[in-house]
Amino acid sequence: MIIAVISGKGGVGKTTTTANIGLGLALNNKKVVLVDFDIGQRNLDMILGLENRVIYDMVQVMDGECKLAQATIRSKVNPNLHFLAASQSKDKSVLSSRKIKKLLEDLEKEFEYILLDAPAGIESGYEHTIEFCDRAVIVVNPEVSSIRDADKAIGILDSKSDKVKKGGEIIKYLLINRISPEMVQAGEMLSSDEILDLLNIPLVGKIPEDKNVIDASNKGTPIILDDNSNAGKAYMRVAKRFTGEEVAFPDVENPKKGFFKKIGGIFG
Amino acid sequence: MFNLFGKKKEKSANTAHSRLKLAINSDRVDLDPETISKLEVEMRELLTKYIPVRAIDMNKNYNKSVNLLNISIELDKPE
Repeated sequence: MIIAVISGKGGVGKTTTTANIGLGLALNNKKVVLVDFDIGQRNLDMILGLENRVIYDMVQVMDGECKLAQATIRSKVNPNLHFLAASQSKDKSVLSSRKIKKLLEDLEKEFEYILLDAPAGIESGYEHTIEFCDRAVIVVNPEVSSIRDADKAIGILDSKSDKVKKGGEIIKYLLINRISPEMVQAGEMLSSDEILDLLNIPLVGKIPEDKNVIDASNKGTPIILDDNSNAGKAYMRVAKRFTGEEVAFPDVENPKKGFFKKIGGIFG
Repeated sequence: MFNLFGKKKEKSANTAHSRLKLAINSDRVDLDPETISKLEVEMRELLTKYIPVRAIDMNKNYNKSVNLLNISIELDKPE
């Protein structure tokens, strides 16, 4: 299963999402490879804490300069998790549809889940990332520019991907990242219901804003490993949903609901 | 100051939702300048079969309640 992790604008948490869903799937005994398609940026290796182990990158694999097995790095955190780095030196024009298709076909022989960390929807490498995917996770923040640009990225997904051109459909999932429950309660931030109404694709996760995410990326240990973190717990639920497990959506936007209900009971 | 007894101030999330609804709808049906000029040429060809056309002007108008493509046709004045 090839899953592209996409967004409209940059900086909404695509790479963090790729790392955490990937590790979550690995923790659920799925064999996973994460491929950094953000050529020239190389961020996923940092988030995973694997930056010192990168020798070969995916462009070198595609160009036959090394074997796939030499370039895929196995995580020390979980042996099911593997990583293929983006090229830092070469420019984006090195990507060709034929080479990408071959690489993904080779990866599919080895791995159950292939997650592609895409560049932002406005960049040229984006179309290459979505070209051969089966599914896509669209990451948004509850914020106007992120949502508007996400709709454009979805439009490209629905017109430029190989599957759609052949009459098929990409299965899409919405992941809302960096939700501030207090702001949603105060009416200062779009609720997930409002975002779903605008973008009209099924929800796969609601991730609350969590300071620990920065702390986790500082250390190169994805937040999903932190059992006490709300964002980590939310990412684990997303990963479980991708294994096919039915996982309820707790009310991330209203964590104090029980408390307010009691107060309401006194007065009402 | 004046909303003390009146209606509540609109929440910014609601404003965001209605603005986005409009922006996304307009993005989805956006006509690029090339398409508009093609449309103009074809309309002129069609219209001149029936009426004397001097000029055609098109502009898009999106606001809170409507999503309009205004087309105004200026006719040749009879001498």
